[in-house]
Amino acid sequence: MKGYLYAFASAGRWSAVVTISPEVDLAFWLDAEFRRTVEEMASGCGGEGTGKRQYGKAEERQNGEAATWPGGGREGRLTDGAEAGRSGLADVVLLLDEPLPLGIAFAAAERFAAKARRVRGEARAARLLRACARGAELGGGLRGTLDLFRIFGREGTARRVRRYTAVRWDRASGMREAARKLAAAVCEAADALEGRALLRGEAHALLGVPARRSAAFVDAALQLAALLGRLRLGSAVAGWRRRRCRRCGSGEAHMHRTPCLACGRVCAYCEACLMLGRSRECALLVSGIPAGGASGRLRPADGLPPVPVRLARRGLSPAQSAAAEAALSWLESPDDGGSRAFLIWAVTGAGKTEMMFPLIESVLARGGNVLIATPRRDVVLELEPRIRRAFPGRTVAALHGASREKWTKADITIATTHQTIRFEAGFDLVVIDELDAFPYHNNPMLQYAAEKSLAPGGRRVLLTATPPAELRRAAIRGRLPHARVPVRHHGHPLPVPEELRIPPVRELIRRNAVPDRLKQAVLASLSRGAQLFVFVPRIADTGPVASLLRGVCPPGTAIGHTSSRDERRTETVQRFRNRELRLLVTTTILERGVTIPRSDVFVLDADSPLFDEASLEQMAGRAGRSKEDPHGRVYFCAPHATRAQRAAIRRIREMNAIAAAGGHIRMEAPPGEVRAGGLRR
Amino acid sequence: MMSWTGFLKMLLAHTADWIGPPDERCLVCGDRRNGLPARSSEAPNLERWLCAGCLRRIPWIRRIACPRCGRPVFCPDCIRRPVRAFAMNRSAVRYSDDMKAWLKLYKFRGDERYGDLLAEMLLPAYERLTAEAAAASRRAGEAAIAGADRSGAARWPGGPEAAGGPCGPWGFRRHGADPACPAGVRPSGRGVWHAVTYVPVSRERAEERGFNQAERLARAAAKWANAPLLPLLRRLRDGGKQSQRGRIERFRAMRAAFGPDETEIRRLAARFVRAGRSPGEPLRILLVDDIYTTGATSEACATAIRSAAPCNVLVYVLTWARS
Ligand SMILES: [Zn+2]
Ligand SMILES: [Zn+2]
Ligand SMILES: [Zn+2]
Ligand SMILES: [Zn+2]
Repeated sequence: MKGYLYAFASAGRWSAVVTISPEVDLAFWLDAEFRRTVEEMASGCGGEGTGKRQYGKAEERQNGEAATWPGGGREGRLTDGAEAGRSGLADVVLLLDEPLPLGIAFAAAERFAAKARRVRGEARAARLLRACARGAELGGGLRGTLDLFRIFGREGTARRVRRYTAVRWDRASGMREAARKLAAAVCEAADALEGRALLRGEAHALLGVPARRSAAFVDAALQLAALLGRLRLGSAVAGWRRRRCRRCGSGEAHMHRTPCLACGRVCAYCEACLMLGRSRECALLVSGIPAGGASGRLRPADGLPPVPVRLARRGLSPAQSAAAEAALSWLESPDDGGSRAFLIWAVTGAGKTEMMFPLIESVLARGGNVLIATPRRDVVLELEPRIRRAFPGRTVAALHGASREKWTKADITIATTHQTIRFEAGFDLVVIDELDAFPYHNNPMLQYAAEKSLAPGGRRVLLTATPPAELRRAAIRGRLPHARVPVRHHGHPLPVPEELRIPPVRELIRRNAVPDRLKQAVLASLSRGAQLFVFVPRIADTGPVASLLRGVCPPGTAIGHTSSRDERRTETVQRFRNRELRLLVTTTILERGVTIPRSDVFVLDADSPLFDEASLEQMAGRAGRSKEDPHGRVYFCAPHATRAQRAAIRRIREMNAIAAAGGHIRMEAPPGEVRAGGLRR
Repeated sequence: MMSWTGFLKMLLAHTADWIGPPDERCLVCGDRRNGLPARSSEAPNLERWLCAGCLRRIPWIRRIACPRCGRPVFCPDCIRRPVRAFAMNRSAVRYSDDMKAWLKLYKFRGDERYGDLLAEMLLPAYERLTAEAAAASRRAGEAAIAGADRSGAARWPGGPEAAGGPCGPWGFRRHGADPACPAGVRPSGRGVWHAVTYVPVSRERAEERGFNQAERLARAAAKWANAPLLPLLRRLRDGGKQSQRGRIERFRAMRAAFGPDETEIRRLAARFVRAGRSPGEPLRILLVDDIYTTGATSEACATAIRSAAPCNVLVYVLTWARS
């Protein structure tokens, strides 16, 4: 879309602003009655006085970009009206009468801000305004501009600057009434958009376009909200020479430039976050501003019951309690510049969700809100009822690609990692589940999004069974506060993988033969009544391995196979969950998430480079999850040992040893395990 | 031993594979396109975007059952309504679920990388339509198109200086089953099309979406045809949801949705006359759109163009998918 660029002088100082609704800006700066009405109305909603303070804070956070926002740079003058003499009104407004592509308009305003200090007099301000617009335009790519002029057969026109010194807003239909309606919409918009970063279309949908309101009216309300410091407006993709998506943080590598009918130029869009609507140079991004104090809007924890009382209510195991207590004391510590992130390093099957409950409770009780970001949609769906049960009376929103309630505001928001892109400064506690898993791990976009969704003073809890090396190092060296949960909720040690030396899978398929060792182990698992996970590294091998195993299993054994390429994957997994399938050959897609009560794990080609230490540990973690069958069996099958296999086994033993030393292992471990784990009393 | 030129050729052949693709991953499924690129007999350039698996999923329209609307199956519509404002429609693919998904990603999600892929997919249908148009004009006893060739396209002022023949370097394929295009005939497309145009979208739609998919497709066709791409139509109002209307309703609503850009059409006709055509020779216009459903859009657009043209106009329709 396009926006208008204008400059105004207030108390002798010049600022430039972009607007999507120029009439509102003119009235705001030049019509005293309009200004008084909307300021009165808008201060009545959403906490008086706090808005302005935070606006300053929000600006600080975005340092350098401040000038980009409407009203930016005006901070300070607006609040002490004495300086301007006329309660913040402008003496004169100079408006470029032709709209500019939005990205260019904001870039031009930024350029103006850099030079505004030296401007004296209207004529020079007008010249600078024109020069900034021209400069920003050329910065967008001369070739692109020329190309587009050819396409649309339009010539560039010398822009005219219109001068305004007095304006009456909406004389025809009762000024006050119309201003009131607009101000009411401002309050609603500020409230609904709090903590979010939405594209114009999304913001419009949230504010009832077209059912309740017209697009033009909502644009006017958004613009007025920006002028009042209740929202921020900017182009979704911004940057000088090197573009950056302001929604997902992606850089030049993800920018795709195409001729654009919305702005009439070649204009870049962000490919990285395309699945959540197109973020582009000429698209408007509306960012909410967090309510409450800028530095820690949470109340102190003094009024809460003592920690042991709160933990006892949740029925946690001793190991869970210990970790939750450590996390709570970090969470409730005053803001003293310490780490804003806390790592909960909990073994597979430790019950990390329950450990979250006391943390969530603490934040909610102190007036905050929580985001739980998890990699997969099924986890969102599984978590939602549990959270609802644990926090009756609190609002819970579950967001994923297919969910209807994309805009609901809630105390607790459970979202897939991708959905966090739509938040900005929205949450006091962000829990990142399985931070080492796809898609979050090694994805700078989602890491940026998670960081961005944190409110000022907010904190992050990271959950994982297998932290990546750099986090592990930070935790061990004391740079990252953390708590380890070395034992499962049922108190039994983790099954230690056994190594089976067998030829590679390709070889087995070629020979159409299953080595005796593997055959015996599979038959033993089947006869003890377990279900079998058989992991293979390559998708292509799932089918052949399944038919290979069919040959050695007793007749009638139901064997299935699946992979990310399998269209009936959900159905196959469901059949496995229902025990309709006894054995499932799969790739790493099932390394997490699927919990089967009585199950054994076979990892074939465990020496494959596709299986790293973390994924071997996760696959091993599928066994022995339930209290009824805590000693599942795990086999790493490969022609030879690798560093990853050894490391995974070592880490599992290490966790068992820590658990034993901490006295967490309640029941007697199998004898082999005692030796392996080095358990001594 | 390999000669230097042989070595260079090999090197170039490989570099073409490296620099050619916009991405080394398949656009649709994201898989790496390992090994030798997949070849499609229909449109040999498609391996730039697609892996062999996705290439195989394209439901090409190879045989046509209805010579009017290009439908691959029996067509009661054209029997019921034999008189059309346009000469014929040819589509590249059937509108299968896969194709629906691709078009959705392009049009609604706005993944414009699909734009080039879809345009490239249009090529076989373009070639077929060009051949049929040429054959039809020969049958009508027009001045031999081949004769008009050398002068034809080059004489248009402002036309794109597209290199290569209009049929591309791949030549023409046989359509044994197709009476309009006897096997072995290799008509030159040059001079067949006097202008290429597209179905316009409303201003709101254009601003919301940022592009007009029909215009992007038409751009590719204009390059192949070495003919000017002209905005001959205007969207008077948004058609609304088409699927909710009945047949008659749909045709009526569509007629009201499009109008001619009279100045553009007159300018085109004037140039046509200046180029030395006899008044009897029809102006052949290629109209491009993404999907052909009932033909209501094509009908309305062709009617609009013909109503504003001072001379005889034949509108041929080229669409990406036939539903
Ligand atoms: Zn982005
Ligand atoms: Zn644009
Ligand atoms: Zn593919
Ligand atoms: Zn037909």
